[in-house]
Amino acid sequence: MRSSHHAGRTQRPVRSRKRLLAIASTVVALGLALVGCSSGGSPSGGATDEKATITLWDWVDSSKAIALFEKSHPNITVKLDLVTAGAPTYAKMFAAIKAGNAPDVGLVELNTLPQFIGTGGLLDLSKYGANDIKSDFLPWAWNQVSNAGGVYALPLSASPIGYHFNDDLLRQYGITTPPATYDELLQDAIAYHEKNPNGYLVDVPPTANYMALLTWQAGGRLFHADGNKWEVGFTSPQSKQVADYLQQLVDAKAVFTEAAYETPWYQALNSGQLASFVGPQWADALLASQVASQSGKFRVATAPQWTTGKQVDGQEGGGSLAVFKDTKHPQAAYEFVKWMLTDPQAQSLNYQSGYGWPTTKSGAKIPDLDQSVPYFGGQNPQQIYQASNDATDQSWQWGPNYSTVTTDFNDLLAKALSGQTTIWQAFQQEQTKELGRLKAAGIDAVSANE
Amino acid sequence: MTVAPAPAAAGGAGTQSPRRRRRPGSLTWPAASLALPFAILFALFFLAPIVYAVIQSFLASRSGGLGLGPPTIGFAGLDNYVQVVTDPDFGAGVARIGLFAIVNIPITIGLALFFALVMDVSSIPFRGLFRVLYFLPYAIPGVVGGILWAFLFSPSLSPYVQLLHAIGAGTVDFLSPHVVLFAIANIVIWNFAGYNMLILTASLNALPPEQFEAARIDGCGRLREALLIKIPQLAPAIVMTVLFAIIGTLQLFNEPLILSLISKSVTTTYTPNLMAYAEAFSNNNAYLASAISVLLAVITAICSAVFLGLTRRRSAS
Amino acid sequence: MTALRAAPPRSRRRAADSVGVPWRVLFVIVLVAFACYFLIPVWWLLVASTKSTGALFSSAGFWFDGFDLGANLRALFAYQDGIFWQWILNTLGYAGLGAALAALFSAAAGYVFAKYRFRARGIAFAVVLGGVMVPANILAIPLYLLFSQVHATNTFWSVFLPGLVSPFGMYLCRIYCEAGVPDELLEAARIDGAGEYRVFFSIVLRLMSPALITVFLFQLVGIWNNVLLPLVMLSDQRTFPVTLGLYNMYASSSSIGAPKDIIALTITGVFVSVVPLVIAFLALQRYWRGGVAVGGVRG
Repeated sequence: MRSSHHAGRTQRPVRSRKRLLAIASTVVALGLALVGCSSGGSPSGGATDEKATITLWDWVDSSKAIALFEKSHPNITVKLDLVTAGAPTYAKMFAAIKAGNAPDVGLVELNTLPQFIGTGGLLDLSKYGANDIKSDFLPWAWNQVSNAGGVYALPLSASPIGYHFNDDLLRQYGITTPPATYDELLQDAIAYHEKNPNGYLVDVPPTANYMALLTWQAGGRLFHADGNKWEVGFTSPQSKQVADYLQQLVDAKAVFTEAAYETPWYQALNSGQLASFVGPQWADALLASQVASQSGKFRVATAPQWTTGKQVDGQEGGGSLAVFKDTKHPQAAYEFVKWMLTDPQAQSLNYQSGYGWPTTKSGAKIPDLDQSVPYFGGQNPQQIYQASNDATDQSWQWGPNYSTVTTDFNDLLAKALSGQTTIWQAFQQEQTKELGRLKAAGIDAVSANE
Repeated sequence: MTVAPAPAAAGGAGTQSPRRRRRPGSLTWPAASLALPFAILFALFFLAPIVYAVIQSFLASRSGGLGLGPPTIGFAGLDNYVQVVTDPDFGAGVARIGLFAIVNIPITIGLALFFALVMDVSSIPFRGLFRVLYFLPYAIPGVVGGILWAFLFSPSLSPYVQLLHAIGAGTVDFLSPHVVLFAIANIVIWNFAGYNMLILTASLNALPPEQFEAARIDGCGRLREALLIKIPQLAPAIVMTVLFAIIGTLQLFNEPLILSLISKSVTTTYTPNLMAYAEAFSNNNAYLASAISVLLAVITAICSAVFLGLTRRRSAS
Repeated sequence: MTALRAAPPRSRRRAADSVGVPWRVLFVIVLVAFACYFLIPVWWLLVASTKSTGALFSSAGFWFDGFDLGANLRALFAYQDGIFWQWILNTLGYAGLGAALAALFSAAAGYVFAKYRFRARGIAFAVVLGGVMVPANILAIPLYLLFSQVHATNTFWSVFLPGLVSPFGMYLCRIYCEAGVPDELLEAARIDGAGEYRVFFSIVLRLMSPALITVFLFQLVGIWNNVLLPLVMLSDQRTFPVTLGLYNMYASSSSIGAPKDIIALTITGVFVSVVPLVIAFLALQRYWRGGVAVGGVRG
């Protein structure tokens, strides 16, 4: 802990009392450190007087919120490194943890957070008072970032889903109501492609995320912690249902099969080759920036369901802000993360910049959620996302190595979608591969079907 | 493992200094210190990483239970190697670059040889210009050339797709599973054919002219002269270019890395080097990645040795 | 080394050097076709860098549509507060300075191996030759592991230092020095009282300058072609070389944080990075041919 940097300016009494507290706690922490405790703690809200520069790795441009933070926390400077979304950045983060030069704070999706916890490279925020703000967050979101009493990140965003569709195109080819079930989606997709041979109603992206989402909706589990071991469920009946369903779409050659949220996919949406997709709320911001040519034509509806009349949703993505263990300014870093996720103005800005749906109780009330969206022709999609968030099956767990699952499973799915195997075979191969991976890492795991 | 000295190539090139050479002098400390920077850097950045990779390949990170606690690192014996060798993706990756080598190297070197021979004919106009133009792509860094070609292959931007479509060849997808390997081969050929041409041209220029004059007096035609005299004389240089092409091909990384961004056919295990990269970084398993790197180095050494052995035996018989 | 200088004078061969007109026409047609193959991507790049994002996707690829090169360049150099300049500067450091030092170190070591006798000389040289066969890509991940062990990744040095070693350059310098630096000259200098350093820096280095330039060029290309090393070592954009920067721009073109005209920016970036390289290459062409003759023929 570093505590020797004092600005020496006159402070209001409240502040100096705080500072006194901070010094006191630092002394205690130092003592603890000396007797072998790895990191010290101090009550939340302390030590903001420390002059600190913290680095944030993030792929959503949060500079407006940062500017606001710096204004109210003049001693803390936040350096934003805009990095590539997802996998490439996780690779850098793993590398940096190993090399001891990780940033102070990083954006980590909820699905990959357990793998980072497993490296031992994240700071346990409970020592900095994170448990005090537990009640500010939605319980299931909190469960995703905490494990065995430790808090390894603060949940930044949820990602409820919806059916995003190009209403002009759907109407043009005779689809007047968006499909309510996956059965309807299948029939619509085939009919659409027949009428419009150069276009596709919907996509089947070769991504683990999409398979997880559909399995989640079907009530299946890819991972489930049973006591001290993982049950791995890529070959569960629900996964079989998902795989067979998607195979029908692929066999009918009625779907677009490039990876979602990448250039070819955006180009297909821009050109009208692809008319709709099942995707998360954060896709809204991406549509507005990457598919600007279709502005005003898209709408959002409730995602298709496996069972008629019963809404069960999953999520795709969802983020958290984690503090890395090697940070020189743990207190300042925690302060920043806490502020980003709980300050009302910050929550508004976060939503505007495209992080996703708030995970705090207060966040559900920010005015930005309840607004008509010009990109969606003035539609206000709040009800849809709120309902989806509420309908999310909250017992879902991400396994201990989801980044690895993504690499392996994406490869297998790419082969399946280019016709070299079936989608079900991809699930089966991933089951075998994943069990082998976990065994090699010394993690206890069994097949969920046994 | 040593490089083929290919002494025959130097034959007649007049490379030996006409002065009598003496035995080298004994090494003194000031002189030895001149070699020190190279020696230190070589030890640190060539030998040390190799040794370190070998050590790492015998370790593994293990964590018990749910795998959410800090891991321990311990000796793993041959586990990593077993895991790599039994992974069908590794075998597929090796087979893929094997196929790539068999297709790509003969084309690259064949073209280079053809260019060098044709441009050796002095009555061909603008030889110098052609030579420069062919060599030009070598100036462009591999990854930049890769990005350039990625644009040229991408369905929505590609002028080639436009062109093929315009002449009624339908919509060609350069990124589909069976075509993309050739798309990668194309980038490599574009990048390196001119470079190999230059190597062969240089050795061609070093051949003694008397032989050709003798051949011409014998009434030997241009084509036969090329086939019967020049190519055999170039053999050592060709062996060298093929050898370096083999080594380069086994390391294939840049081009598939770029195309993996736009083609789902290029997976993270597409080549052994990509696989090592994915293991080390996406999967956070440096130990397995080390095993892949070591295996790849061994495969490279074996291939080089076999190739050299084959060509030596042929030239000896 | 005199390989090139020893090439036969052209005039001697020209007399008998001709092929029939039909063959000549055929060869020229084939050569022109291949020239198109090699040049068309560069032409496309030139054309594409003058287009706005809209025009890129809507116009024919091989011809101009509007002229927005100026706007593209301004946007490129404004991208992330002008980070492209930083990348260019870094590249000069990694590849330019790195290759120059690599050439110097290679020459010094090559000279020692060529002109001195010492124990284990044969083995040491064999080990270095083995190094010639080890490609840069395979070293990248082990190097990364090593650097991360000493917490030195994500620094300028992590990419710069490994670029200072060129086993091939050392090999080339040794051969060159054996043939091109006469012992008599060295002895004369020593008799005149010159120390080892003086001999090397004022006599040997000058005599070896063609080899130095060749090693410099080879190493320059080697460093700028190696994207795996910076890719694994560096995470701070400010330390990137141009190649990695462009790769990053290309890879993040679908990211939410990316500017809307990122594809046009990337193409312009590729164009800007290619132009000076092509000019430098054309200017240094004869050294290439000389170098290839030395390295290629003997190697």
